Amino acid sequence: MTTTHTLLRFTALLLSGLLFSATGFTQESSPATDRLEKMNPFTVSALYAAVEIKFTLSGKNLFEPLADPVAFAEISAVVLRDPDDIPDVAVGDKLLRIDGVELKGLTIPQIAELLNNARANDVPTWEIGQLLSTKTIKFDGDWLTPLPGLKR
Amino acid sequence: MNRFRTLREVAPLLLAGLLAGCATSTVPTPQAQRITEYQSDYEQMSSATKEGVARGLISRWDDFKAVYIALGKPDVITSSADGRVVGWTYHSYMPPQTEEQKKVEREVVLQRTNMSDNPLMDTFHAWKNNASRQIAFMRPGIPPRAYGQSWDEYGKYLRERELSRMPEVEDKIQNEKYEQSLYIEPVPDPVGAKLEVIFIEQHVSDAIVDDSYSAFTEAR
Repeated sequence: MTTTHTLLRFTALLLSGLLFSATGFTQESSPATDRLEKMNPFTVSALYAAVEIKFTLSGKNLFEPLADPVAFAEISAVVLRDPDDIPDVAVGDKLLRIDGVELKGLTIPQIAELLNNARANDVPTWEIGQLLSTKTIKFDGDWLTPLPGLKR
Repeated sequence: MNRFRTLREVAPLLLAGLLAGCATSTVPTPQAQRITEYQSDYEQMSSATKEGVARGLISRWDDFKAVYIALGKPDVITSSADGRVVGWTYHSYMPPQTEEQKKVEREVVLQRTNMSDNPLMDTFHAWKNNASRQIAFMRPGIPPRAYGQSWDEYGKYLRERELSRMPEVEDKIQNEKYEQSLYIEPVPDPVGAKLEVIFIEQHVSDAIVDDSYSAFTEAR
């Protein structure tokens, strides 16, 4: 009886030891840097920050916002997806052009079509207006509120 | 001769017509002008909405046209990327005044300008008290009527100083009244507040005053 009891205790200790060592091994073998290597290259856009764009309309078509030409588009929020990848856009920046086409004067559905075509061709080029200067960046982040007809 | 008689007969009618025209011609409110602009849309609104927008008031669930009639064209229009959330911003919104508020404000302003509501009655009261509205300018030694002081009281002062052996005392008292009346509480200039009306799916969801509180808070 005593021998059986001792054997059971030993087995239980052995099993629990094995379990703890296995967990520790797993933790040590998955450093944060491995995550990038395992990523699918086609999901690279997930690294871009997500943005919220607010449109200021011209008021020419007061009662139909989607048919009212845009006066300007402004970035109203930026959500970081990767802390190591700080985007070149910030809250308050103006989105002036996508792939060289000026947004001013277009309606929101026309801008949706423009962005859709730009995404189909390549990573869209954004011309960003800041306080005193403009710059051009390659950006394909998600829109927190997608344009009509687009998924992101 | 006949022409003069005709003119004499017609003249009173013309005068009466002219006076009647003057009496009835009132400046239409901005809301009334916009109702005319969108008459058919206005007719389709509920009676409560009609009554509100005609007075410059909005409420939840009003649509774009109701808000336009009530408040006019916004200074800034913003939209979310999907067009679902729209904001109409008025940089200097003035709440509509009631008739009582208008009356109080007019009385305070008249007191400040030292004028009565009716210049003819003002002149009459001055004349009745043997004074003149320009007496202080005509006789530099006499202090002017204090702001808000009645002509009866000012006339009494003028009579007493004429009879007094020491008019300087009367003048000093009146001058003190005048000086004190200069320091009445100034009427604050009307300052408009920033108002942002937020529409969701083309209907009023909220109205934010000065980026801080909802205009509909009390109605909840």
